Amino acid sequence: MQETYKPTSVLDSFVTVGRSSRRSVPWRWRQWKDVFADHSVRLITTAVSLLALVMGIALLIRAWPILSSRPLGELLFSSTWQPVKGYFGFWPFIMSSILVTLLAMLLAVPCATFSAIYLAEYNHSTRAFFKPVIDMLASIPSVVYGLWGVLFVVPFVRDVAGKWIGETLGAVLPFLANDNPTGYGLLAGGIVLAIMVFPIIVSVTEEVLRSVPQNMREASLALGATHWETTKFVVLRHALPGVIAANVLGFSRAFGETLAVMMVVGNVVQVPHSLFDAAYPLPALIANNYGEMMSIPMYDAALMGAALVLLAVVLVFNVGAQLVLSRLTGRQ
Amino acid sequence: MNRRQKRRWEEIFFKTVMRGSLLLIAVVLGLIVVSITWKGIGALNWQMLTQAPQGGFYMGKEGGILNAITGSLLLAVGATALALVSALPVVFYLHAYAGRSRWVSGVRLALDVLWGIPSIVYGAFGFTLMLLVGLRASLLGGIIALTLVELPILARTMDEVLRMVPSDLKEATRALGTTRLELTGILLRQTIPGLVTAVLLAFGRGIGDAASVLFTAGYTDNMPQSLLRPVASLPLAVFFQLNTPFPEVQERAYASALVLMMLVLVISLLSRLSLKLLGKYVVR
Amino acid sequence: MHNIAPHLSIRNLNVWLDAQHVLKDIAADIPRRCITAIVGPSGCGKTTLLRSLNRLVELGPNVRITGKVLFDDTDIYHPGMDVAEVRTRIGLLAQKPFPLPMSIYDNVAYGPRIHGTARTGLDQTVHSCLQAAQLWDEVADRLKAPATELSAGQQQRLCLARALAVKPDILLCDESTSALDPISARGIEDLLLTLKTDYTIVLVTHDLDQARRLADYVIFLWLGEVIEQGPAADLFENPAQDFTRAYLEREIG
Repeated sequence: MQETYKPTSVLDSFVTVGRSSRRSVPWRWRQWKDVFADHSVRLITTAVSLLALVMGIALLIRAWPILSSRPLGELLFSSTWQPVKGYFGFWPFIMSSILVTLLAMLLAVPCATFSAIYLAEYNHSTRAFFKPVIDMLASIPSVVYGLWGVLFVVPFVRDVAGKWIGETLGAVLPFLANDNPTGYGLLAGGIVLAIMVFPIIVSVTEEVLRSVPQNMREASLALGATHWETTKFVVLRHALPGVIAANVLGFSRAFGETLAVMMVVGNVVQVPHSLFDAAYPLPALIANNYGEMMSIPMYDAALMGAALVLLAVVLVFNVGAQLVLSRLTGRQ
Repeated sequence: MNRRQKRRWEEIFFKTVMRGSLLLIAVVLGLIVVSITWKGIGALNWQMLTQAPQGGFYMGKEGGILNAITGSLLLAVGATALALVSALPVVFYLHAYAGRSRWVSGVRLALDVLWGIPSIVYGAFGFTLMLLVGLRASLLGGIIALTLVELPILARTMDEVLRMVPSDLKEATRALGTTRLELTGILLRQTIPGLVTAVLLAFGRGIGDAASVLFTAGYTDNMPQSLLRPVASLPLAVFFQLNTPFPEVQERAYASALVLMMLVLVISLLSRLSLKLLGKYVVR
Repeated sequence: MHNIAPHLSIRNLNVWLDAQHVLKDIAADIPRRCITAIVGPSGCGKTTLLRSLNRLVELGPNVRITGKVLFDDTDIYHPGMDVAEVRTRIGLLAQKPFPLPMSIYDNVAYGPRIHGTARTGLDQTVHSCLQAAQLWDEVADRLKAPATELSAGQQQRLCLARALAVKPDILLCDESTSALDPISARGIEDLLLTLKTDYTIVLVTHDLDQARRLADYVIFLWLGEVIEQGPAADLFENPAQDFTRAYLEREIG
């Protein structure tokens, strides 16, 4: 294909194939395609990279009516939630989210960390079996976990855990008191969430542990340390920032998890005071009320504000964790 | 107990704890799969798979979940296709056009962060977009929201796969006078099993995601009719039909959960298989 | 000198890494309180042999080991053997210095701490080991600083001090000077020469001049087999095998 166009020096710099930079040789169609692709690829990549920012701005704009009409302190820390009367206090939802997430982490972190240590440090042959198990856990949809929670965890909490703990320890410790006969509550939500964040914590922790240089382990083993001592004093110590980052990722995943939690957590607007109380996390608030949000003034702004809070928390945690991880494992 | 025995016992103790943790998690997975299958298998029959619900809203006792199955497939296929179209340029950028630019790590960070954003936020954002253009809850809206959910998964997984290609190969290819566009094409063809893995992974995530389609795709007892009408989806079929007082409708929830779980597990296994092929025949 | 009982004796040792037969029927004796050099061209299994003397070799995937390594007449591969104990008594100085992620003091104290040596003696142990490794004067004022701040030569001496702190009987050195600058390398060599009065030292090296400078006893390894072994003077001046002669004259390897 004969082209008569002579490339300008600016365009020239995009083309790295040596021959084409000699002006006497006409550009070929394939090089044109390359330059065109260059521009469009950069454009799309920029758009995608800025997506999180765009989402933040869009949600901010939609939430602005409520953010500008009420003091932020009242929105975040008031416990009065009466949309029809115009009271929007997010405190019960924020506390519910934090508590259910922390509970899930409390249950998941020890188990996940020990599992990851075993897979990375101890037995490489069990990996072949457990990698698929962890992948499968990660791939099961939220709603299936929710259904399983309803069928299995809620009855367990209601008939076993709630009864026993509520009657024994609950009489002494107020945060273990059980006056919720349904089983739907913090504990059920925490258990289901714990299983859901388990895979991400395990796989990221394992990746971090694997990035610890083998020589570091050998140095410790050669001094007569046992395997566990080496893990505890050397590997975990070296990988500590990454292990923390893995748990932060798990936390932010749990914080935004919607359906599974919502199906088992009870959804009562209150600040839960006991392990068995019903709770109402932020994602559940959004998901439960989107239907009527256009019919009550400010309601849609309030729900978009909740989404904004979620996004902000997750962004901060994720960016921090990813920066630590990329430095540690050299992923980026 | 002397020091040496104590150290040995500590080793044995923690090893047991670790094995216990892994065993616990395997048991939990087994429990989930078995109990969902147990509940679902009783509800599953030919009618369930081949008919949409008959009769009124959430109340019709006859019929099955065909509306949700087709809806979910349409949503996930549409979203995966759109996500692929938008993820490919990003991958092209990262591997051929960016060179040694320091933007590369910025883009990867952005994708990793996007991957971590909860799908309910994508749903809320998608809903905002739809309001902007006057679109109501519909197949199209659901596809758009799901595309956003799947995009970072696809882009980042493909990126990781391409990073497994030795850089010598890239340089050798460039040295032959290929353009960057052609180079990327060659790289992609080299790593097809890996790309299949990425697509399967994104598809699996898309088909199981409920929170993003909740606002954007809506729900209906009817079969999907047009891009601009609401569609049912398997996750929401579980969610909405579980809480009805009618056992027949609840059965549909159990059946939907089983179908969904099986779909996703098969996809997960397939993607593993595909990744194995990649390691065996393509890279290295 | 060599007629006393050997400190380590290797009997029919075979090692496979994956399907590769890396060490073939190794039989060798390592005399007490001497420096034994294992020499041979790269890839001949020197490092694998050294790492099988304190059972580090078994850390890799798909390793198979047969045969015995007798350490004062006890087989270190005996199933009832405590691996940590073996590695405590047979220390290792690796090819590259790898300080543990902690302070200089804690690096040296690491071994004594896990082995439960009395807390009171710890400062004294750290002091004497750093002195033995001739590092004390350089780090005395910054014991709490991270070990990674030291230069490579200093780090290697720190690793030596760390190895000495667990009071091993045998010290294995895996080309421990190859990653260092010539001056630091010479420093380590001099240290090893002074240490051999108290320790049995096994040294892997591809540097024949280094072997000549240091070794009392030499094992020549070729493609996973022991070709020749004997007192350094005999082997270097008057090798029994043509192979060894060719290697010493740098015709092969």
